[in-house]
Amino acid sequence: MLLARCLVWAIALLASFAAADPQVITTDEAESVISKSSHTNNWAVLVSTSRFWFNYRHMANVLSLYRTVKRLGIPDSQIILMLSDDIACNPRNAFPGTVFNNKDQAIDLYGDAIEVDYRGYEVTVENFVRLLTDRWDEDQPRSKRLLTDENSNIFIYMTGHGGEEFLKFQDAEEIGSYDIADAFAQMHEKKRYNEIFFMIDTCQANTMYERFYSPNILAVGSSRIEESSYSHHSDMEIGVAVIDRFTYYTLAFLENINRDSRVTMNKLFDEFTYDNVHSNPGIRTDLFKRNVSEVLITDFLGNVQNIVLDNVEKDILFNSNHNKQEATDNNETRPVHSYSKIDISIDTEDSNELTKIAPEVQRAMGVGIAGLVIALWVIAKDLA
Amino acid sequence: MTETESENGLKVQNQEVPESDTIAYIRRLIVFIVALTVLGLGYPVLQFTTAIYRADLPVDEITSLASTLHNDISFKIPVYLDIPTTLDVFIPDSQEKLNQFVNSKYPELANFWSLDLKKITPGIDPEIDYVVKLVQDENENGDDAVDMSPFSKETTLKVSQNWIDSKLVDQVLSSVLVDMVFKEEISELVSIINNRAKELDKNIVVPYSPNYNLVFSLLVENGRTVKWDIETALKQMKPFLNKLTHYTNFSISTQVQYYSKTEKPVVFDEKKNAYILKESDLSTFINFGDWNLNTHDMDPSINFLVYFPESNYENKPWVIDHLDNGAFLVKQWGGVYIFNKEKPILEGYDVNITELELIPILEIFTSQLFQLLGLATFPKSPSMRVDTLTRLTLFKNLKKTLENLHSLVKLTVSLNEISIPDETKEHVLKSIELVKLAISEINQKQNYHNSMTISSKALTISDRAFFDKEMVQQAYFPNEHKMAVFLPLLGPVTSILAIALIKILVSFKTGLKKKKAD
Repeated sequence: MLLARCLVWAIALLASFAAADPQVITTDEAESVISKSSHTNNWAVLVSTSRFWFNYRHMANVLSLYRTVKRLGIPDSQIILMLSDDIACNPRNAFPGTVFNNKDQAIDLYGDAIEVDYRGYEVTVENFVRLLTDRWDEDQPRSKRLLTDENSNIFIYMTGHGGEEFLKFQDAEEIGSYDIADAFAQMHEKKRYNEIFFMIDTCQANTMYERFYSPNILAVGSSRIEESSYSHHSDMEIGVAVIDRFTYYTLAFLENINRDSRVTMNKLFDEFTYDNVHSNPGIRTDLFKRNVSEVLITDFLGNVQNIVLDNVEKDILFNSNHNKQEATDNNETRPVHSYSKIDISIDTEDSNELTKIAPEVQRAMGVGIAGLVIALWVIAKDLA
Repeated sequence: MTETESENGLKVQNQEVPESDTIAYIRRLIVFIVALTVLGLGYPVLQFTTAIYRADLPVDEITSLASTLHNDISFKIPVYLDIPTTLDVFIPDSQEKLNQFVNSKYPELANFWSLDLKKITPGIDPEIDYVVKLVQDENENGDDAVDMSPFSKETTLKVSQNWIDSKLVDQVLSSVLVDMVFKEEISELVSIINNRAKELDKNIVVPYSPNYNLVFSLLVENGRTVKWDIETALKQMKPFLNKLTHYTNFSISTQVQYYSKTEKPVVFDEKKNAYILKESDLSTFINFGDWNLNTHDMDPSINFLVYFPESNYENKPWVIDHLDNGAFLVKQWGGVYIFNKEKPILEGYDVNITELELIPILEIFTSQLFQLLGLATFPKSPSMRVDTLTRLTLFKNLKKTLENLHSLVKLTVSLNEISIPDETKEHVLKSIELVKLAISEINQKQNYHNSMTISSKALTISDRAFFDKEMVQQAYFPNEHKMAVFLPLLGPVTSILAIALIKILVSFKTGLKKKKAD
């Protein structure tokens, strides 16, 4: 009796094992989950929108990010730099031909290798919208156009003076948040981007990205509605503020990133605290499919190429250059003809393959067998 | 009668002279005429002058074309059978069998793609058209039965007596054509029709353009002169590029650059006596900042780099870890080959990369170019691959053109402040006309080369329609502020008119009350 019970238990256990679905996670998978981005090229659009000497820091913001983006690998042909005023050659500049972003004047951002695409009064709302939607005359030069396609990741950075749902351009006009949202919608319609990373450093910056409605956009703003963004420090020799807080902390973080870095975006966002920035930065991720902790910074700010190895097919050039006659005449033996054996399956009904059972059916069968055996056990108890 | 105090304190009675009726009548008339002018003439003029010009687009035609594209096109690829005249009767039966085979295995291709079996005539050239040659096989086994030519579009099928006896030859023929010769084409077409999402790994192919720049660059790490016979070597590529003249236009340019260092220094391995490049380093190998790889041209470029490291002078090679050849492909951009000189370089002599050394490099580049253009990988013959590519790109272009037009229509509907100029409408109509022409070239003449050229024109024009420079939503002010901007004009006019009308109404009411009192 006891033996019979044990036997039945054993059979029931085995049956349940057959029904179970073992799950094994390797340690490699558990460690770092980086979602793969499907982009193949990177573009950057860096815009400064304000005029006059006392807005020195806005030019410095943009030029610092230009330098960073170039250092991380994006070529000049894929960077659109829009500087609304010429600060380096301003008559009030005590150090003519230079732009600094720190009072230690360690790095001259203006240098001799910068390529400015839109300068001075060319930086207007109309030109910016035209740039995004690519609606130009035939004679617009290539260096001034955003020639992206559906595999491009674009980093868009805007800085200047802004307010609730507007950004002031050139002290004379403004761009509304709806305008940018509609421009992005047009870009999405025409598949002109894979993902956009939108960063804006102005007062009440978060209001500018609230109106976006196209997918795959990650947006970061430096301050909330009714809040101002602050400058970081002034250089006493130059006489004006040289960098904004939000951009200063962004740059400080990005200085530690190099071209093949595997650091993710959420580490950058961790730098934006109230103590650092003195305002409440905002991040909008609801339009962005991937999780921010799985996105590499170099997906947007770098230019990491997708490589394919070991994929060389032989004799292609030879085959294009010859035809059969020439090959046999010259006794060439290189080309490999594709010989194949033909398998004709006349009757496909009775084959000797093991039949495959779907996992749900397996589970059902396991549960069924276990139940049957338990029922038998119960009945046997009663009968005995 | 009202009483007022005059200056010297005397009370004076002012007599109110009631307005004469004619004057009141004239006043009312004036107000009504002004109101009529403002509403009848002024308001329409305001609307007309501030309205945004929107030409009307043939929306229905576009949506109907877009939805029925798959059904409108009918590919009937002619395949010529080289069989003795006695077996001519075999052709209609095989055609039936073939159609059944295709439609049962791939129901999406019904009425869309099929093969047209015909008897071969003397003028047929296997370089241009598909030919299947059926020969009697002496040995009875099925080995080496199918021989697909690696040069032209010919396939030789060895038929054994066994098959003839069991009447299996047409089944064999169908299987050979569908599962071997046209396998890649069919699977690509099915995935395009089903709109299957692009897998991550398939992002290799450069997007189609009617013009490409092929740039061959030699990047030398230091400043010592290196010569290469690229111009003579490139003549070897000309036959292949000529095969694609109906498909796209290539402009070839070459350059040599010195002092091209990589950003990260490469590590020297003592054991292997070579500089080792890790696979993970290859993603950032190309130093875009320092190397001049910009073509300043609107057309897309496919770049092929040959990198000549300085260690060649010390006879130490640069090797990519775990790879035989130092070549890798960069998705949607081009290819790179790291050149290691096999024989040591003599002192005082300048390196010359001869044509013989360049040919294997060009073989690698051609293979990479095939992948970048999207040519199929299976039938070895380049002619077959180009043909498949023509048909696939033709279909994709037509699909994309109609998608562009459809996006344009969607845009104009969702953004109703955007203006639609006449040029856009013209481009849209021209594009639709070209799409219809391309479809008729396929259906009636099965002329894929012509149709391909027309489809690429249609695509360019549809892009032009979408990206017309007048279609910028920005007027002088955003539409929400329209009322605010016109307020200085409309404010005074409407307020005066309104007050006058109210006065008339009030006097009317008091007049009525008076009449009632009387």
